[in-house]
Amino acid sequence: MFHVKDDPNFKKKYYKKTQSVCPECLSSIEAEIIEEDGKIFIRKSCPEHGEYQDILSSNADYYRWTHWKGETWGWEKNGEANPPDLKGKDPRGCPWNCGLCEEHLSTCSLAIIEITNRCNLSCNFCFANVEKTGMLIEPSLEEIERVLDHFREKPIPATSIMFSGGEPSIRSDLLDVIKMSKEKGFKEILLATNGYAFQKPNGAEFARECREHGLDTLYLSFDGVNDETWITTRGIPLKEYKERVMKNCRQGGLDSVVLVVTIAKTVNEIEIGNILQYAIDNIDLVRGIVFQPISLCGRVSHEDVQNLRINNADVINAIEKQTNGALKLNQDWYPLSTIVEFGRTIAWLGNQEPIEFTCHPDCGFATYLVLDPDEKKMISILEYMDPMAIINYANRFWGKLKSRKHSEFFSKLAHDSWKGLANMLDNGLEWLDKQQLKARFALGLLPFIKKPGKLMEIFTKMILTGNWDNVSSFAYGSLLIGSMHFQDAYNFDMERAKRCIVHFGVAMPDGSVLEIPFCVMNIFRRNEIEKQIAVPYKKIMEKEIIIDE
Amino acid sequence: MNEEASVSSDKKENVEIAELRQDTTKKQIMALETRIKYFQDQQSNFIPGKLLDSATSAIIGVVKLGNNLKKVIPKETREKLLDIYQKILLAF
Repeated sequence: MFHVKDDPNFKKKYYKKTQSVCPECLSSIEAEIIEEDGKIFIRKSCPEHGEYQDILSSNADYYRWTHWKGETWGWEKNGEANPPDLKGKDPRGCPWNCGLCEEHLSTCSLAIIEITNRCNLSCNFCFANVEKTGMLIEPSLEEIERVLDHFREKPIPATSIMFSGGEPSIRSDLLDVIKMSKEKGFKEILLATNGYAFQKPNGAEFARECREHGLDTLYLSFDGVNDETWITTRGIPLKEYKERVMKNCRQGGLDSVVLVVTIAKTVNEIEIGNILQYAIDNIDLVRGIVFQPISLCGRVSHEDVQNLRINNADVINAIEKQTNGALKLNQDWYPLSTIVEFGRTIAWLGNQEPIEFTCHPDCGFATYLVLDPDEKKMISILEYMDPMAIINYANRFWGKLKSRKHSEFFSKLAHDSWKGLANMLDNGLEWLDKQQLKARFALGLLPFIKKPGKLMEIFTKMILTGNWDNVSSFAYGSLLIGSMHFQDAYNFDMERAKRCIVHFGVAMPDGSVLEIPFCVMNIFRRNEIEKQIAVPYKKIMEKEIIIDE
Repeated sequence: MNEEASVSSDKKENVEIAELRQDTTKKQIMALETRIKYFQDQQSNFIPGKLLDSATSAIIGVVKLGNNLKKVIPKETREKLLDIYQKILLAF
């Protein structure tokens, strides 16, 4: 059962008031999040359009677990936000001031740029396709550079960038975009793609070029392993298409693929176990699976919402059922915010920029399946350690570490002409200090390792070195399984928007860059923003639209 | 990323559900070997790599010893010792 099952805070019935919006008119209204019949609901009432109820979690225990708060810490973490880009003037406040205003509470961990809305597919649910809107959105290289600079030049720079679309691999200058991003200092470059350019006859060569230019991970849409599923979700069979992508990535040495599963009830929830098995069978390429419970934006009837809605607890429950209990709902899953202090500590000790997962607990969950070198099978990483004790120690450690100052011992003593030498000596002192702190951190985790062996040796090396390559190397052969549950107007919770860590960057016509949380963009601002940046596409590049080979 | 509202609610009856197999595939072993090789490469290139290897072995040795000791030390004593141990490590 959940690792806090005896804690009185865990047993309290859940109730919270928050701000939401009317799904019809998008006016801000108050909402209640309540526990009823073992489930969690959001309820709200619009004076004009009536009452709405949507389910947030089909398992109240799981929901309370993801919102647990103990005596000194819990899962709702405070982020370290960058200074606001603008001062909000709209009296309605968040999210109408978004761009980002002073109310935002987290920094951006994953920046997204939509580099085209052209696509080789025309899925029935996608509203960003150029053929449907008749308006082309395709920022120039200069505009993309402006957005990259925006994210990298902030006091807390974004570490990861994702290029999405449309289908981003349609752009002929994609390699230049990737190269430029690496040169700007992004640590992780991702491409959200259906695999178009990678499934072509020269796909292996293209994959190799992408890797050489700096692409780290293919964020590959993957709805299931059966063509029946693809026909339902995309209108055409894509099983072979995806196989070609995988084969070419393997040949081209692009060995980091994350399967991105847009999941909807009654559509492809039945494929969850199959997708997990597919990932394990392709573990030399697949680093993770990200389930994205469908976000019902656009014109969607309330009936469709009821039919298609799937929440994090549903996904986890399906994983447990469809994997014969390999991962269990009540012991293997943690909200993304779990590792904030652990990550900050590793980054601080390894002189790296931290990745800040200070998002709301409803935004996502994750766990790791790792290949056990001794037992030769995939096992939940939580079998190797006592997670709550490790997180508790990491929180306490970071509490002390965050106020640690740069050594100025010699600099303060030295005369001006000796400053250079003094600085060098101070840097030496700091290096020594970091080594002893690394040792303290690693030694503090020891009592909580349940299963020593080769895997824990690799894990320990990762902590002792702390650099980005070693973290990636630990991930090699491991399978991150997570979820990102984007919001829509039915389940919108303002607190989630304020703590969002996935931000769009848009180059605006006036030369500015608009940074805006993912869900706020899609629910409130997309239409208005696209009207400002789009151009009629027939005049420019209709002839370049490629449907398929 | 723009996969939002699906209006299709077709049900499929003929999709197979596979149970998670726990056999060891060649790909899994290859992935593991690559990961271990990465660290070994570090060791052959840098003296700190050798030190890292020694330090890690020592740490894992201590873990094994600690896990064995846990079995013979009463729980209450163990918790007191752990508390003292953590206080020492966090005294910086």
